[in-house]
Amino acid sequence: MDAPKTMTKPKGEAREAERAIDRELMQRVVKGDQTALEDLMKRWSRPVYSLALRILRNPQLAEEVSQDTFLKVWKHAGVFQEQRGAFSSWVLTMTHHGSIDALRRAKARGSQVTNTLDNVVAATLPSPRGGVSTWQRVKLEEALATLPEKQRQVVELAYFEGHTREEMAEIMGEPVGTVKTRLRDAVQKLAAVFRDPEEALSQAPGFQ
Amino acid sequence: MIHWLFHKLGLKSCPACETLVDYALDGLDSPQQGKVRQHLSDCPSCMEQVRDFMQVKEGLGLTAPESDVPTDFNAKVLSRLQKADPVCVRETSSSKSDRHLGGWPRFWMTLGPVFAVLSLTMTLVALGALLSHKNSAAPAQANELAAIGNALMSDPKAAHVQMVSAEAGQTASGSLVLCPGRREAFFKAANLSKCPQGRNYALWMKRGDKAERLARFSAEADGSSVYLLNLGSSWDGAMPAEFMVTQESGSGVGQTWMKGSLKL
Repeated sequence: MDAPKTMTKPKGEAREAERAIDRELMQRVVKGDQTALEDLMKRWSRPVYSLALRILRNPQLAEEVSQDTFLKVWKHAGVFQEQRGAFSSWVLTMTHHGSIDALRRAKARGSQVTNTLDNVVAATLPSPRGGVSTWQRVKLEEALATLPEKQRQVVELAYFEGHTREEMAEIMGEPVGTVKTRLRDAVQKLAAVFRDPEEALSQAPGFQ
Repeated sequence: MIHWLFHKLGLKSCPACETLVDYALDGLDSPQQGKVRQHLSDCPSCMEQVRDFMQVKEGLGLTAPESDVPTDFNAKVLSRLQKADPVCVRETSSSKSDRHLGGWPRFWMTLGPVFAVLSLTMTLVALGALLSHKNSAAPAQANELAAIGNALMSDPKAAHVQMVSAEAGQTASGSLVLCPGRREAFFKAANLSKCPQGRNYALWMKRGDKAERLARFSAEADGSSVYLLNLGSSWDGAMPAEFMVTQESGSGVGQTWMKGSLKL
């Protein structure tokens, strides 16, 4: 008989502890505590900058967008509500918005993607579930690598390059409907990573 | 699968799955986003799907190869923050890796006195403008408050509006007294503390789609005070009417902190 599975610490518990730290820091930011903002930047400036650089492929622009993201964190701290979502999701969504906006401006396409307060609020609705763990990120990378080429391409075009569906159809030389269907299929496959039974079990309280 | 079946059988008016994916990945324009958001508030199954897709979106953000953040990143952000909102400047701990005074501490040491003189001058000018402004208000002296407040509250035509916090978790509250035909209003606020965006607030009245700013005032540091507001135009007594206290800054109207209403 196999020995029961044991884990030193349920993965869900570690993630919840991280969320609690972000939550506490944001409560202090709302009260105007700049050291809390500094602590948030120590925790999140690297993934924020990494995402911006991945999209923009320009260190100066990426730094500018990353700085803007944290200024928005400060400005809209009162709008963000932790019960609506994880800080990680909110800050990465704002980074993504800002990066795509900057990319479009840089390419002088004439698109008017605005990053208004409405978009900042919308970025929190609805809340995803408790952020993304390191394990899930690794699994997601694996899933991305195993997607069929065209599905991987639509994800790249949609998320990392910010193309509209019409632009994607033109780039790929296919109808818009086909592109949308392909993107739906790709995202549904990637979503399966977050429904992995092993991960779900590891989040159960007192799992050993 | 069940959701798809219900949709195909016309048992639900849910958006297509592709639309939910587009919503989660910011592929919809604002009107379409609004429609989907409205649907999500009533449809748990679509909400669950979108949550899945948004988790994918967050995960994608984290798959970007990690890069070192540029040097002095934190200091640059704080410097920009102080230029935008000098009222909120506080001491921050300098980095342990700093070997010399750099970044924003050097900025303040070299240009601090200049900014201090400029700030003082601008404060005096603004104070003068504020005192002469028709719609301005200030915490009134006790005897003036007593006289006007008594007159307002004892007037049989006076309307009393209880103001409650507009946001869950906030504790701001107040009571507003105004009288048809009078251009003063009596406003007592509790826990309307100075927020990071500043101390300036405004009282608004809304009827239907039309909103009118009645008065502006500055919150006191302790968050609780009594204000005698000089209204831009007297209240005509028509109801129903909604009243809001919003935070105001240089960039315009901000968050609503309190609200109350008068019904027929």
